[in-house]
Amino acid sequence: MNDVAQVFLNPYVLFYLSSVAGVQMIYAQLKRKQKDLIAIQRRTRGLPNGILLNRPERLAALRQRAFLESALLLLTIVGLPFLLSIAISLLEGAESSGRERLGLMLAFVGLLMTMLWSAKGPLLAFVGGLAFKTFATFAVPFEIGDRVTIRGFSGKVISLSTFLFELETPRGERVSLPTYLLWNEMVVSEGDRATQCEINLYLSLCASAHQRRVAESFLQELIQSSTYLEPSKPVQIYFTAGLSATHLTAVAYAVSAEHARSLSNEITKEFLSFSQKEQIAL
Amino acid sequence: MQLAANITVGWADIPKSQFCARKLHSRAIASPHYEKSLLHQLQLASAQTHILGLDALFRRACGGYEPVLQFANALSALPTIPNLSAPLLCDIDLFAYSFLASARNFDLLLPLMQCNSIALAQILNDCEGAVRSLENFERTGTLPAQMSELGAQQYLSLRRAVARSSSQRELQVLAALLVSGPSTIIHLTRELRLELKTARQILGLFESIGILTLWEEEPGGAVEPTFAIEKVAVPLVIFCVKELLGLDLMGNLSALLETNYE
Repeated sequence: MNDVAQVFLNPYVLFYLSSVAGVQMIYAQLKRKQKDLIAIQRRTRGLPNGILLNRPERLAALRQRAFLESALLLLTIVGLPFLLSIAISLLEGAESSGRERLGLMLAFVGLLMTMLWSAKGPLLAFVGGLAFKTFATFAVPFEIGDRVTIRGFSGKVISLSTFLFELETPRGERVSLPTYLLWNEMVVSEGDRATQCEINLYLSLCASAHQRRVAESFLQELIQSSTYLEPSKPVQIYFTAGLSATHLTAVAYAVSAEHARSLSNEITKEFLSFSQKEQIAL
Repeated sequence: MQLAANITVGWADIPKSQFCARKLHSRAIASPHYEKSLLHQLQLASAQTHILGLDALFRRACGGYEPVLQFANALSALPTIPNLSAPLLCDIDLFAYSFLASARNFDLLLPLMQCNSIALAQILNDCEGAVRSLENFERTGTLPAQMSELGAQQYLSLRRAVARSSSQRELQVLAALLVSGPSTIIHLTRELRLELKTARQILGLFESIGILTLWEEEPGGAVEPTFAIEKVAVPLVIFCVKELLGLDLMGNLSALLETNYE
Protein backbone atom coordinates (compact mmCIF):
# COMPACT_ATOMS: atom_id res chain seq x y z
CA MET A 1 0.00 0.00 0.00
CA ASN A 2 2.81 2.35 0.91
CA ASP A 3 4.52 1.43 -2.34
CA VAL A 4 1.40 2.28 -4.35
CA ALA A 5 1.12 5.58 -2.51
CA GLN A 6 4.77 6.37 -3.15
CA VAL A 7 4.35 5.65 -6.85
CA PHE A 8 1.71 8.35 -7.17
CA LEU A 9 2.42 10.73 -4.30
CA ASN A 10 5.74 12.00 -5.46
CA PRO A 11 6.62 15.55 -6.40
CA TYR A 12 6.97 14.77 -10.10
CA VAL A 13 3.48 13.37 -10.52
CA LEU A 14 2.10 16.24 -8.46
CA PHE A 15 4.02 18.73 -10.58
CA TYR A 16 2.78 17.07 -13.76
CA LEU A 17 -0.90 17.04 -12.81
CA SER A 18 -0.76 20.56 -11.36
CA SER A 19 0.93 21.83 -14.52
CA VAL A 20 -1.75 20.36 -16.80
CA ALA A 21 -4.50 22.16 -14.88
CA GLY A 22 -2.40 25.14 -13.81
CA VAL A 23 -1.19 26.11 -17.28
CA GLN A 24 -4.76 26.22 -18.56
CA MET A 25 -5.90 28.32 -15.60
CA ILE A 26 -3.00 30.74 -15.92
CA TYR A 27 -3.55 31.04 -19.66
CA ALA A 28 -7.28 31.74 -19.14
CA GLN A 29 -6.39 34.44 -16.59
CA LEU A 30 -3.84 36.04 -18.91
CA LYS A 31 -6.36 36.03 -21.75
CA ARG A 32 -8.98 37.67 -19.56
CA LYS A 33 -6.49 40.25 -18.37
CA GLN A 34 -5.48 41.06 -21.96
CA LYS A 35 -9.13 41.43 -22.91
CA ASP A 36 -9.70 43.77 -19.96
CA LEU A 37 -6.66 45.84 -20.90
CA ILE A 38 -7.90 46.20 -24.46
CA ALA A 39 -11.35 47.20 -23.17
CA ILE A 40 -9.76 49.86 -20.93
CA GLN A 41 -7.59 51.11 -23.77
CA ARG A 42 -10.58 51.38 -26.08
CA ARG A 43 -12.61 53.21 -23.43
CA THR A 44 -9.72 55.62 -22.82
CA ARG A 45 -9.67 56.39 -26.52
CA GLY A 46 -13.39 57.13 -26.49
CA LEU A 47 -14.47 53.98 -28.31
CA PRO A 48 -17.76 52.52 -27.11
CA ASN A 49 -18.13 48.88 -26.06
CA GLY A 50 -19.40 47.31 -29.28
CA ILE A 51 -16.82 46.70 -32.00
CA LEU A 52 -17.83 48.16 -35.35
CA LEU A 53 -16.08 45.51 -37.43
CA ASN A 54 -17.91 42.81 -39.34
CA ARG A 55 -15.02 40.51 -38.42
CA PRO A 56 -14.11 41.53 -34.87
CA GLU A 57 -11.13 39.17 -34.86
CA ARG A 58 -8.60 38.63 -37.60
CA LEU A 59 -8.19 35.09 -38.91
CA ALA A 60 -4.43 35.31 -38.36
CA ALA A 61 -4.91 36.25 -34.69
CA LEU A 62 -7.47 33.46 -34.20
CA ARG A 63 -5.09 31.01 -35.81
CA GLN A 64 -2.27 32.10 -33.54
CA ARG A 65 -4.40 31.77 -30.45
CA ALA A 66 -5.83 28.37 -31.42
CA PHE A 67 -2.34 27.11 -32.21
CA LEU A 68 -1.02 28.39 -28.88
CA GLU A 69 -3.87 26.78 -26.91
CA SER A 70 -3.44 23.45 -28.68
CA ALA A 71 0.33 23.59 -28.21
CA LEU A 72 -0.04 24.37 -24.50
CA LEU A 73 -2.39 21.42 -24.02
CA LEU A 74 -0.20 19.00 -25.98
CA LEU A 75 3.06 20.17 -24.42
CA THR A 76 1.73 19.88 -20.89
CA ILE A 77 0.01 16.52 -21.34
CA VAL A 78 2.43 14.82 -23.72
CA GLY A 79 5.69 16.77 -23.62
CA LEU A 80 5.99 17.44 -19.92
CA PRO A 81 6.21 13.76 -18.84
CA PHE A 82 9.28 13.30 -21.03
CA LEU A 83 10.98 16.39 -19.61
CA LEU A 84 10.13 15.30 -16.09
CA SER A 85 11.48 11.85 -16.83
CA ILE A 86 14.82 13.40 -17.82
CA ALA A 87 14.69 15.56 -14.70
CA ILE A 88 14.07 12.43 -12.58
CA SER A 89 17.13 10.72 -14.10
CA LEU A 90 19.31 13.74 -13.42
CA LEU A 91 18.06 14.47 -9.93
CA GLU A 92 17.31 10.99 -8.55
CA GLY A 93 19.75 8.93 -10.55
CA ALA A 94 18.82 6.17 -13.02
CA GLU A 95 18.76 3.31 -10.45
CA SER A 96 16.61 4.87 -7.75
CA SER A 97 14.02 6.64 -9.87
CA GLY A 98 11.88 3.65 -10.89
CA ARG A 99 8.87 4.44 -8.66
CA GLU A 100 8.76 8.09 -9.70
CA ARG A 101 8.95 7.18 -13.39
CA LEU A 102 6.24 4.58 -12.99
CA GLY A 103 3.99 7.09 -11.25
CA LEU A 104 4.59 9.62 -13.98
CA MET A 105 3.89 7.09 -16.71
CA LEU A 106 0.68 5.92 -15.06
CA ALA A 107 -0.49 9.49 -14.59
CA PHE A 108 0.23 10.27 -18.25
CA VAL A 109 -1.50 7.15 -19.58
CA GLY A 110 -4.44 7.63 -17.25
CA LEU A 111 -4.89 11.23 -18.37
CA LEU A 112 -4.60 10.30 -22.03
CA MET A 113 -7.11 7.46 -21.73
CA THR A 114 -9.53 9.69 -19.85
CA MET A 115 -9.34 12.25 -22.61
CA LEU A 116 -9.57 9.84 -25.48
CA TRP A 117 -12.13 7.31 -24.33
CA SER A 118 -14.08 8.01 -21.27
CA ALA A 119 -14.11 11.81 -21.14
CA LYS A 120 -17.54 13.28 -20.56
CA GLY A 121 -19.03 16.70 -20.01
CA PRO A 122 -16.60 19.57 -19.52
CA LEU A 123 -13.45 17.64 -20.46
CA LEU A 124 -14.96 16.39 -23.72
CA ALA A 125 -16.30 19.88 -24.43
CA PHE A 126 -12.88 21.39 -23.82
CA VAL A 127 -10.81 18.97 -25.87
CA GLY A 128 -13.35 18.54 -28.67
CA GLY A 129 -14.01 22.27 -28.78
CA LEU A 130 -10.33 23.20 -28.87
CA ALA A 131 -9.70 20.67 -31.60
CA PHE A 132 -12.53 22.04 -33.75
CA LYS A 133 -11.52 25.63 -33.12
CA THR A 134 -7.94 24.87 -34.20
CA PHE A 135 -9.13 22.98 -37.24
CA ALA A 136 -11.54 25.79 -38.21
CA THR A 137 -8.84 28.46 -38.12
CA PHE A 138 -6.69 26.51 -40.58
CA ALA A 139 -9.21 24.79 -42.86
CA VAL A 140 -11.57 27.82 -42.57
CA PRO A 141 -14.99 26.27 -43.23
CA PHE A 142 -16.29 29.65 -42.07
CA GLU A 143 -15.01 32.73 -40.28
CA ILE A 144 -16.33 34.96 -37.54
CA GLY A 145 -18.60 37.44 -39.29
CA ASP A 146 -19.78 34.94 -41.92
CA ARG A 147 -23.42 34.04 -42.29
CA VAL A 148 -24.07 30.33 -41.73
CA THR A 149 -26.99 27.96 -41.30
CA ILE A 150 -26.82 25.22 -38.69
CA ARG A 151 -29.67 23.09 -37.32
CA GLY A 152 -32.16 25.29 -39.15
CA PHE A 153 -30.84 28.52 -37.61
CA SER A 154 -29.35 31.12 -39.94
CA GLY A 155 -27.30 33.96 -38.66
CA LYS A 156 -23.97 35.69 -38.35
CA VAL A 157 -21.18 33.91 -36.48
CA ILE A 158 -20.28 36.16 -33.58
CA SER A 159 -17.98 33.89 -31.62
CA LEU A 160 -16.13 30.57 -31.88
CA SER A 161 -14.53 29.85 -28.54
CA THR A 162 -13.26 26.56 -27.11
CA PHE A 163 -16.59 25.85 -25.43
CA LEU A 164 -19.24 27.76 -27.34
CA PHE A 165 -20.16 28.60 -30.91
CA GLU A 166 -22.53 31.56 -31.14
CA LEU A 167 -24.77 32.85 -33.92
CA GLU A 168 -26.85 35.98 -34.05
CA THR A 169 -29.99 35.64 -36.16
CA PRO A 170 -31.44 38.57 -38.16
CA ARG A 171 -34.14 38.84 -35.45
CA GLY A 172 -31.49 39.45 -32.83
CA GLU A 173 -31.73 35.98 -31.26
CA ARG A 174 -28.52 34.43 -29.99
CA VAL A 175 -28.08 30.75 -30.75
CA SER A 176 -25.35 28.92 -28.83
CA LEU A 177 -24.01 25.46 -29.49
CA PRO A 178 -21.14 23.61 -27.77
CA THR A 179 -18.20 23.86 -30.19
CA TYR A 180 -17.34 20.17 -29.96
CA LEU A 181 -20.71 19.27 -31.49
CA LEU A 182 -19.71 21.03 -34.71
CA TRP A 183 -17.62 18.00 -35.67
CA ASN A 184 -20.86 16.16 -36.42
CA GLU A 185 -22.93 19.03 -37.80
CA MET A 186 -23.53 20.24 -41.32
CA VAL A 187 -22.76 23.95 -41.44
CA VAL A 188 -23.86 25.82 -44.54
CA SER A 189 -21.78 28.94 -45.00
CA GLU A 190 -22.93 31.76 -47.27
CA GLY A 191 -19.34 32.79 -47.91
CA ASP A 192 -19.45 36.39 -49.15
CA ARG A 193 -21.19 39.05 -47.15
CA ALA A 194 -23.40 39.79 -50.20
CA THR A 195 -26.81 38.08 -50.11
CA GLN A 196 -28.94 37.11 -53.04
CA CYS A 197 -32.22 38.95 -53.17
CA GLU A 198 -35.21 38.20 -55.39
CA ILE A 199 -37.68 40.93 -56.26
CA ASN A 200 -40.95 39.81 -57.79
CA LEU A 201 -43.10 42.18 -59.81
CA TYR A 202 -46.16 41.51 -61.91
CA LEU A 203 -47.09 43.26 -65.12
CA SER A 204 -50.60 43.08 -66.50
CA LEU A 205 -51.07 40.96 -69.63
CA CYS A 206 -52.21 44.19 -71.30
CA ALA A 207 -48.70 45.67 -71.08
CA SER A 208 -47.27 45.99 -74.59
CA ALA A 209 -43.90 44.62 -75.70
CA HIS A 210 -42.50 48.17 -75.70
CA GLN A 211 -43.72 48.73 -72.16
CA ARG A 212 -42.14 45.47 -71.03
CA ARG A 213 -38.82 46.54 -72.59
CA VAL A 214 -39.01 49.94 -70.93
CA ALA A 215 -39.88 48.30 -67.59
CA GLU A 216 -36.96 45.90 -67.89
CA SER A 217 -34.49 48.60 -68.79
CA PHE A 218 -35.69 50.88 -65.99
CA LEU A 219 -35.55 48.03 -63.48
CA GLN A 220 -31.94 47.24 -64.47
CA GLU A 221 -30.86 50.85 -63.98
CA LEU A 222 -32.89 51.23 -60.82
CA ILE A 223 -31.26 48.21 -59.22
CA GLN A 224 -27.78 49.38 -60.20
CA SER A 225 -28.42 52.80 -58.74
CA SER A 226 -29.36 51.44 -55.31
CA THR A 227 -26.92 52.05 -52.45
CA TYR A 228 -27.68 48.55 -51.20
CA LEU A 229 -26.59 46.72 -54.34
CA GLU A 230 -23.33 44.75 -54.38
CA PRO A 231 -21.92 45.94 -57.73
CA SER A 232 -19.53 43.04 -58.30
CA LYS A 233 -22.37 40.52 -58.50
CA PRO A 234 -24.64 40.15 -61.54
CA VAL A 235 -28.12 41.59 -61.85
CA GLN A 236 -30.50 39.34 -63.76
CA ILE A 237 -34.04 39.98 -64.87
CA TYR A 238 -36.35 37.18 -65.97
CA PHE A 239 -39.76 37.23 -67.51
CA THR A 240 -42.21 34.42 -66.94
CA ALA A 241 -45.58 34.32 -68.66
CA GLY A 242 -48.41 33.52 -66.29
CA LEU A 243 -52.13 33.02 -66.77
CA SER A 244 -53.13 36.34 -65.21
CA ALA A 245 -49.92 38.37 -65.31
CA THR A 246 -46.40 38.56 -66.65
CA HIS A 247 -44.06 37.75 -63.82
CA LEU A 248 -40.93 39.89 -63.71
CA THR A 249 -38.23 38.51 -61.41
CA ALA A 250 -35.13 40.53 -60.64
CA VAL A 251 -32.28 38.67 -58.98
CA ALA A 252 -29.63 40.89 -57.44
CA TYR A 253 -27.22 40.79 -54.55
CA ALA A 254 -27.55 43.07 -51.57
CA VAL A 255 -24.29 44.34 -50.01
CA SER A 256 -25.15 42.41 -46.84
CA ALA A 257 -27.96 40.27 -45.46
CA GLU A 258 -29.01 43.12 -43.13
CA HIS A 259 -29.77 45.29 -46.18
CA ALA A 260 -31.50 42.73 -48.39
CA ARG A 261 -34.93 43.93 -47.31
CA SER A 262 -33.95 47.58 -47.85
CA LEU A 263 -32.86 46.77 -51.41
CA SER A 264 -36.07 44.94 -52.16
CA ASN A 265 -38.19 47.68 -50.59
CA GLU A 266 -36.45 50.49 -52.46
CA ILE A 267 -36.71 48.75 -55.84
CA THR A 268 -40.36 47.83 -55.39
CA LYS A 269 -41.39 51.32 -54.27
CA GLU A 270 -39.60 53.08 -57.12
CA PHE A 271 -40.83 50.60 -59.71
CA LEU A 272 -44.42 51.12 -58.59
CA SER A 273 -44.00 54.91 -58.93
CA PHE A 274 -42.38 54.48 -62.33
CA SER A 275 -45.10 52.19 -63.65
CA GLN A 276 -47.77 54.64 -62.48
CA LYS A 277 -45.98 57.51 -64.24
CA GLU A 278 -45.48 55.50 -67.46
CA GLN A 279 -48.99 54.05 -67.20
CA ILE A 280 -47.76 50.49 -67.29
CA ALA A 281 -50.51 48.31 -65.90
CA LEU A 282 -49.50 46.03 -63.09
CA MET B 1 -8.93 55.36 -80.73
CA GLN B 2 -7.35 53.44 -77.88
CA LEU B 3 -8.16 54.66 -74.40
CA ALA B 4 -6.53 54.02 -71.06
CA ALA B 5 -7.56 54.87 -67.51
CA ASN B 6 -5.39 57.08 -65.32
CA ILE B 7 -6.62 56.59 -61.77
CA THR B 8 -6.86 59.60 -59.46
CA VAL B 9 -7.71 59.69 -55.76
CA GLY B 10 -9.48 62.56 -54.08
CA TRP B 11 -11.49 65.29 -55.75
CA ALA B 12 -9.17 68.29 -55.88
CA ASP B 13 -11.47 70.66 -57.70
CA ILE B 14 -13.70 70.83 -60.76
CA PRO B 15 -11.30 70.79 -63.68
CA LYS B 16 -11.36 74.02 -65.69
CA SER B 17 -9.43 72.86 -68.73
CA GLN B 18 -11.11 72.71 -72.16
CA PHE B 19 -10.25 69.00 -72.12
CA CYS B 20 -12.25 68.16 -69.05
CA ALA B 21 -14.78 65.47 -69.83
CA ARG B 22 -17.77 67.50 -68.71
CA LYS B 23 -16.98 70.40 -71.08
CA LEU B 24 -16.20 68.10 -74.00
CA HIS B 25 -19.40 66.16 -73.43
CA SER B 26 -21.67 69.18 -72.99
CA ARG B 27 -20.33 70.80 -76.20
CA ALA B 28 -20.72 67.53 -78.10
CA ILE B 29 -24.27 67.05 -76.79
CA ALA B 30 -25.18 70.56 -77.92
CA SER B 31 -23.93 69.94 -81.44
CA PRO B 32 -25.86 68.02 -84.10
CA HIS B 33 -23.28 65.26 -84.35
CA TYR B 34 -21.75 64.02 -81.10
CA GLU B 35 -18.71 62.17 -82.39
CA LYS B 36 -17.77 64.80 -84.98
CA SER B 37 -17.90 67.48 -82.31
CA LEU B 38 -15.62 65.42 -80.04
CA LEU B 39 -13.21 64.83 -82.87
CA HIS B 40 -13.14 68.53 -83.68
CA GLN B 41 -12.50 69.48 -80.05
CA LEU B 42 -9.70 66.96 -79.70
CA GLN B 43 -7.89 68.28 -82.79
CA LEU B 44 -6.71 71.12 -80.55
CA ALA B 45 -5.10 68.73 -78.06
CA SER B 46 -1.42 67.91 -77.80
CA ALA B 47 0.55 64.78 -76.95
CA GLN B 48 0.46 65.68 -73.23
CA THR B 49 -3.33 66.06 -73.13
CA HIS B 50 -5.31 63.93 -70.72
CA ILE B 51 -9.06 63.84 -70.59
CA LEU B 52 -9.75 65.23 -67.13
CA GLY B 53 -12.44 64.32 -64.62
CA LEU B 54 -14.18 61.52 -66.52
CA ASP B 55 -15.92 60.58 -63.26
CA ALA B 56 -17.77 63.92 -63.33
CA LEU B 57 -19.95 62.44 -66.09
CA PHE B 58 -21.08 59.59 -63.88
CA ARG B 59 -23.76 59.50 -61.20
CA ARG B 60 -24.91 56.36 -59.49
CA ALA B 61 -28.55 57.00 -60.31
CA CYS B 62 -31.14 56.13 -62.93
CA GLY B 63 -29.87 57.72 -66.11
CA GLY B 64 -26.53 58.47 -64.45
CA TYR B 65 -24.56 55.89 -66.39
CA GLU B 66 -25.54 57.16 -69.80
CA PRO B 67 -23.26 60.24 -70.14
CA VAL B 68 -20.03 58.48 -69.14
CA LEU B 69 -20.79 55.43 -71.29
CA GLN B 70 -21.79 57.57 -74.26
CA PHE B 71 -18.64 59.66 -73.94
CA ALA B 72 -16.27 56.70 -73.52
CA ASN B 73 -17.93 54.74 -76.33
CA ALA B 74 -17.76 57.74 -78.66
CA LEU B 75 -14.10 58.38 -77.82
CA SER B 76 -13.13 54.80 -78.46
CA ALA B 77 -14.99 54.86 -81.80
CA LEU B 78 -12.99 57.88 -83.01
CA PRO B 79 -10.08 57.37 -85.38
CA THR B 80 -6.59 57.86 -83.97
CA ILE B 81 -5.66 61.55 -83.89
CA PRO B 82 -1.97 62.08 -84.85
CA ASN B 83 -1.19 64.83 -82.34
CA LEU B 84 -2.64 62.87 -79.40
CA SER B 85 -0.81 60.27 -77.33
CA ALA B 86 -1.81 56.67 -77.91
CA PRO B 87 -3.54 55.40 -75.89
CA LEU B 88 -5.38 58.54 -74.80
CA LEU B 89 -5.28 58.80 -71.03
CA CYS B 90 -8.55 59.55 -69.24
CA ASP B 91 -8.35 60.63 -65.64
CA ILE B 92 -10.99 58.92 -63.55
CA ASP B 93 -11.51 58.68 -59.82
CA LEU B 94 -10.60 55.38 -58.19
CA PHE B 95 -13.99 54.68 -56.65
CA ALA B 96 -16.04 55.61 -59.70
CA TYR B 97 -13.78 53.36 -61.76
CA SER B 98 -14.06 50.50 -59.30
CA PHE B 99 -17.83 50.78 -59.24
CA LEU B 100 -18.22 51.05 -63.02
CA ALA B 101 -15.78 48.19 -63.62
CA SER B 102 -17.74 45.93 -61.27
CA ALA B 103 -21.22 46.97 -62.34
CA ARG B 104 -20.77 47.64 -66.05
CA ASN B 105 -17.44 46.06 -67.08
CA PHE B 106 -16.21 49.57 -67.75
CA ASP B 107 -12.61 48.39 -67.54
CA LEU B 108 -13.12 46.61 -70.88
CA LEU B 109 -13.90 49.97 -72.50
CA LEU B 110 -11.32 51.90 -70.51
CA PRO B 111 -8.56 49.48 -69.49
CA LEU B 112 -5.67 50.24 -67.21
CA MET B 113 -2.25 50.45 -68.77
CA GLN B 114 0.37 48.11 -67.33
CA CYS B 115 2.33 50.96 -65.74
CA ASN B 116 -0.88 52.46 -64.37
CA SER B 117 -1.94 49.16 -62.88
CA ILE B 118 1.32 49.14 -60.92
CA ALA B 119 0.65 52.68 -59.70
CA LEU B 120 -2.91 51.65 -58.89
CA ALA B 121 -1.71 48.65 -56.89
CA GLN B 122 0.40 51.10 -54.87
CA ILE B 123 -2.60 53.39 -54.31
CA LEU B 124 -4.70 50.42 -53.23
CA ASN B 125 -1.94 49.29 -50.88
CA ASP B 126 -1.81 52.72 -49.27
CA CYS B 127 -5.61 52.86 -48.90
CA GLU B 128 -5.69 49.34 -47.50
CA GLY B 129 -2.94 50.24 -45.06
CA ALA B 130 -4.94 53.21 -43.82
CA VAL B 131 -8.09 51.08 -43.48
CA ARG B 132 -6.14 48.39 -41.61
CA SER B 133 -4.89 51.05 -39.16
CA LEU B 134 -8.50 51.96 -38.49
CA GLU B 135 -9.37 48.31 -37.96
CA ASN B 136 -6.55 47.99 -35.43
CA PHE B 137 -7.67 51.15 -33.73
CA GLU B 138 -11.24 49.88 -33.55
CA ARG B 139 -10.12 46.47 -32.23
CA THR B 140 -7.59 47.49 -29.64
CA GLY B 141 -7.80 51.26 -29.15
CA THR B 142 -4.09 51.51 -30.03
CA LEU B 143 -3.35 54.59 -32.06
CA PRO B 144 -1.30 53.43 -35.08
CA ALA B 145 1.82 55.37 -36.06
CA GLN B 146 0.24 56.61 -39.30
CA MET B 147 -2.80 57.98 -37.49
CA SER B 148 -2.69 61.33 -35.69
CA GLU B 149 -4.74 62.30 -32.63
CA LEU B 150 -6.75 64.55 -34.89
CA GLY B 151 -7.44 61.67 -37.25
CA ALA B 152 -8.56 59.55 -34.30
CA GLN B 153 -10.91 62.29 -33.08
CA GLN B 154 -12.30 62.69 -36.55
CA TYR B 155 -12.90 58.96 -36.77
CA LEU B 156 -14.65 58.92 -33.38
CA SER B 157 -16.92 61.79 -34.44
CA LEU B 158 -17.78 60.02 -37.69
CA ARG B 159 -18.33 56.78 -35.83
CA ARG B 160 -20.78 58.45 -33.46
CA ALA B 161 -22.74 59.71 -36.47
CA VAL B 162 -22.95 56.47 -38.47
CA ALA B 163 -22.60 53.54 -36.07
CA ARG B 164 -26.21 53.48 -34.93
CA SER B 165 -28.62 51.14 -36.67
CA SER B 166 -30.82 54.18 -37.41
CA SER B 167 -28.05 55.90 -39.39
CA GLN B 168 -28.97 54.42 -42.78
CA ARG B 169 -29.43 57.80 -44.44
CA GLU B 170 -26.04 59.03 -43.26
CA LEU B 171 -24.41 55.91 -44.71
CA GLN B 172 -26.26 56.32 -47.99
CA VAL B 173 -24.98 59.88 -48.29
CA LEU B 174 -21.40 58.76 -47.66
CA ALA B 175 -21.68 55.91 -50.17
CA ALA B 176 -23.16 58.27 -52.79
CA LEU B 177 -20.36 60.82 -52.28
CA LEU B 178 -17.74 58.08 -52.47
CA VAL B 179 -19.01 56.50 -55.67
CA SER B 180 -20.55 59.43 -57.54
CA GLY B 181 -18.04 61.99 -56.29
CA PRO B 182 -18.74 65.65 -55.49
CA SER B 183 -22.48 66.19 -55.23
CA THR B 184 -24.91 69.01 -54.69
CA ILE B 185 -27.83 68.81 -52.26
CA ILE B 186 -30.16 68.46 -55.25
CA HIS B 187 -28.21 65.41 -56.47
CA LEU B 188 -28.51 63.74 -53.12
CA THR B 189 -32.18 64.55 -52.50
CA ARG B 190 -33.11 63.29 -55.94
CA GLU B 191 -30.94 60.17 -56.03
CA LEU B 192 -31.39 59.07 -52.45
CA ARG B 193 -34.96 60.31 -52.14
CA LEU B 194 -34.10 62.40 -49.09
CA GLU B 195 -35.98 65.35 -47.72
CA LEU B 196 -34.13 68.61 -48.33
CA LYS B 197 -33.99 69.36 -44.62
CA THR B 198 -32.56 65.91 -43.85
CA ALA B 199 -29.94 66.21 -46.59
CA ARG B 200 -28.87 69.63 -45.27
CA GLN B 201 -28.62 68.29 -41.72
CA ILE B 202 -26.53 65.30 -42.73
CA LEU B 203 -24.21 67.26 -44.99
CA GLY B 204 -23.85 69.98 -42.38
CA LEU B 205 -22.93 67.38 -39.75
CA PHE B 206 -20.28 65.78 -41.95
CA GLU B 207 -18.87 69.14 -42.91
CA SER B 208 -18.61 70.17 -39.26
CA ILE B 209 -16.50 67.11 -38.41
CA GLY B 210 -14.22 67.63 -41.40
CA ILE B 211 -15.36 64.67 -43.48
CA LEU B 212 -16.73 66.84 -46.27
CA THR B 213 -15.52 70.02 -47.86
CA LEU B 214 -17.72 72.59 -49.56
CA TRP B 215 -16.99 73.96 -53.04
CA GLU B 216 -18.67 76.65 -54.99
CA GLU B 217 -19.80 75.78 -58.48
CA GLU B 218 -17.61 77.07 -61.35
CA PRO B 219 -18.24 80.67 -62.38
CA GLY B 220 -21.07 81.09 -64.84
CA GLY B 221 -22.96 78.08 -63.50
CA ALA B 222 -25.76 78.02 -60.94
CA VAL B 223 -24.46 78.87 -57.46
CA GLU B 224 -25.12 75.51 -55.93
CA PRO B 225 -22.89 74.31 -53.07
CA THR B 226 -21.08 71.12 -53.94
CA PHE B 227 -19.89 68.72 -51.27
CA ALA B 228 -16.91 66.44 -51.69
CA ILE B 229 -15.16 64.05 -49.32
CA GLU B 230 -11.94 65.51 -47.93
CA LYS B 231 -8.94 63.59 -49.19
CA VAL B 232 -7.69 62.86 -45.65
CA ALA B 233 -11.13 61.54 -44.68
CA VAL B 234 -11.34 59.08 -47.60
CA PRO B 235 -9.99 56.08 -45.60
CA LEU B 236 -12.50 56.82 -42.80
CA VAL B 237 -15.38 56.83 -45.28
CA ILE B 238 -14.14 53.66 -47.04
CA PHE B 239 -13.90 51.94 -43.67
CA CYS B 240 -17.36 52.95 -42.43
CA VAL B 241 -19.07 52.16 -45.73
CA LYS B 242 -17.34 48.76 -45.85
CA GLU B 243 -18.05 47.71 -42.26
CA LEU B 244 -21.54 49.16 -41.84
CA LEU B 245 -22.97 48.88 -45.33
CA GLY B 246 -20.92 46.03 -46.76
CA LEU B 247 -19.80 47.96 -49.85
CA ASP B 248 -16.15 47.05 -50.43
CA LEU B 249 -15.06 49.04 -53.48
CA MET B 250 -11.37 48.49 -52.91
CA GLY B 251 -11.81 44.77 -52.44
CA ASN B 252 -13.72 44.59 -55.73
CA LEU B 253 -11.04 46.50 -57.58
CA SER B 254 -8.23 44.41 -56.09
CA ALA B 255 -10.06 41.27 -57.17
CA LEU B 256 -10.46 42.72 -60.66
CA LEU B 257 -6.77 43.61 -60.88
CA GLU B 258 -5.81 40.11 -59.78
CA THR B 259 -7.92 38.36 -62.38
CA ASN B 260 -7.32 40.69 -65.30
CA TYR B 261 -3.89 42.06 -64.88
CA GLU B 262 -1.74 39.26 -63.47
